[in-house]
Order: sequence, then structure tokens, then C-alpha cells
Amino acid sequence: MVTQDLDTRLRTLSRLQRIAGESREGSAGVTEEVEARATAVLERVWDCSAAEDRAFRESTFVTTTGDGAVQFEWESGTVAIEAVVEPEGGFTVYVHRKGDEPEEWNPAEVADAIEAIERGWSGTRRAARGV
Amino acid sequence: MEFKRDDRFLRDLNPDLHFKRVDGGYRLTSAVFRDRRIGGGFYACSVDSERLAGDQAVARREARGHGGWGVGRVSLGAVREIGEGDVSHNPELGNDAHCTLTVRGARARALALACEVTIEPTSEGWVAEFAGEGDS
Repeated sequence: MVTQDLDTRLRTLSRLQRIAGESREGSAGVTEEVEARATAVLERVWDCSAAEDRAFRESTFVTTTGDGAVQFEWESGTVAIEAVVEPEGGFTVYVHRKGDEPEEWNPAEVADAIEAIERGWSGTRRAARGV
Repeated sequence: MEFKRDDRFLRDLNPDLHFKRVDGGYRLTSAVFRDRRIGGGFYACSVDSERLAGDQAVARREARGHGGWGVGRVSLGAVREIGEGDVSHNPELGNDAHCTLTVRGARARALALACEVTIEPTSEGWVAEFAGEGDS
């Protein structure tokens, strides 16, 4: 974990808990199981290599969709990543690289979702280093 | 009913879930159009035909309890060409302007970026966080 980003991390977790809780007042809310899986994604992602990039950490955003999924977003000037924690299990990871067609992965496990996020972001980091 | 390419459709924008802060303002998140998964990598959401709603658009939004929400507007041409989706007329009791918009999941972000915010939310929380900072 990066100490200077503790506020961002706590703010994101707090927002996740609030919007997930509020959604359960509606008809198609985020279940506690999905909220737990989303929390696990967030905890893992803060320890992954993509989180070494300040742009990644500071752009962290979480929201929910109408069918009870939790959606995370990260973005820089050249790439945007969306990770959807699906209500029925599994994840969908979208990678939008500037000028390219968006790519989609459907991992079943948290570890594979994190890997898809890291892989999606790593092109940006290599480009930033001129590799 | 057949819609034309330049027909426009109105989407209610949740002040707490559909706006993301970015440098210099806000932008819409793809969650605007990822309302419910319908299979095949596509999502659906409810919209109103601007043409059919006419001057009833505001009253219908208030009837849904979304009086303080924002409104986004997108054309059928954008839905088809950017979102790789479509719009079908799907009238509901009390709202004959209701339509169902479909979008490919991977294209929802691009469609959200193409969506024009015509009315900003008026809720206290949204105004405190975003008012006067829109970049759309």
C-alpha cells in the first residue's frame, strides 16, 4: 500500500460500502456477496504493479450498475480500464487504449481479473518509459 | 415505430452514480448505459424519445422520482455507430415515449463520452461536488 494514497483508498472503500448499501434499498441492489468480491478486488488492486503508477491510483473510481454489478474505473491520457464485478460471479475487464478497439476479458477468479487489469495498464507504463 | 438517425433519446442521470470527477470538471461513466446485461456482451437501459416526449419530458422524469437527476441526450446515429447498439420503441403505462436502448458493453464508455449532458443534477451533493465544472 502507498501511504500517501491512504485517503484515496479509504474514500473509495467508503464510497463502495455506501453505494452498495444504498442500492440494496432498491429492487436490483448489490448483494453483500458482490460487495465482498468488489472489496477483495480493491484490496488486491492496491497491491498490484499498476498501482505503482500515480495516475492509476488517483483515478480510482467505483460505481454500480442497474443490475447489481460493481464497476471500477482507472484512466490515464492513453488508457482507460473498467472492471465489472458481475452479480452472477466472475468479472468483465474492458481495456480502452487510445486509438485502438476496446478489448474485453471475462475472468472467473479475482487473481485473473487483477492480472487483466495489470496487463491492460502495463502498455501505458511501457509507453511512458518509451519502451 | 421506426426512428431516424437524427432522432434523439433522453437518459436519466443518477447524480451519485453516473458522474466521475476528472481534471477540469466531470464526465459521464459508462455505467450510464450499463444498466442491465442482456447477453451476448450487450446491455440495455431505459430512455425516452425526445420527439415523442415533447414538453412532457420533465413531468415524466419527476413522475419517476428523478426530478433532481440530470438528463443525458444521445442520437440514434451515435447509438448505432459508436455504441454498436440500437433503440426500440417500448411504450409503458403512462409513458408512450419510453424506449429501450442497447449498447455493446465494450462500447458503453465511448457512448457515454458522446452523450451530451443537457440538464445537470440539482441535488445538493452533486452541486457541492461538480457545479460549474462540466467539461461536456
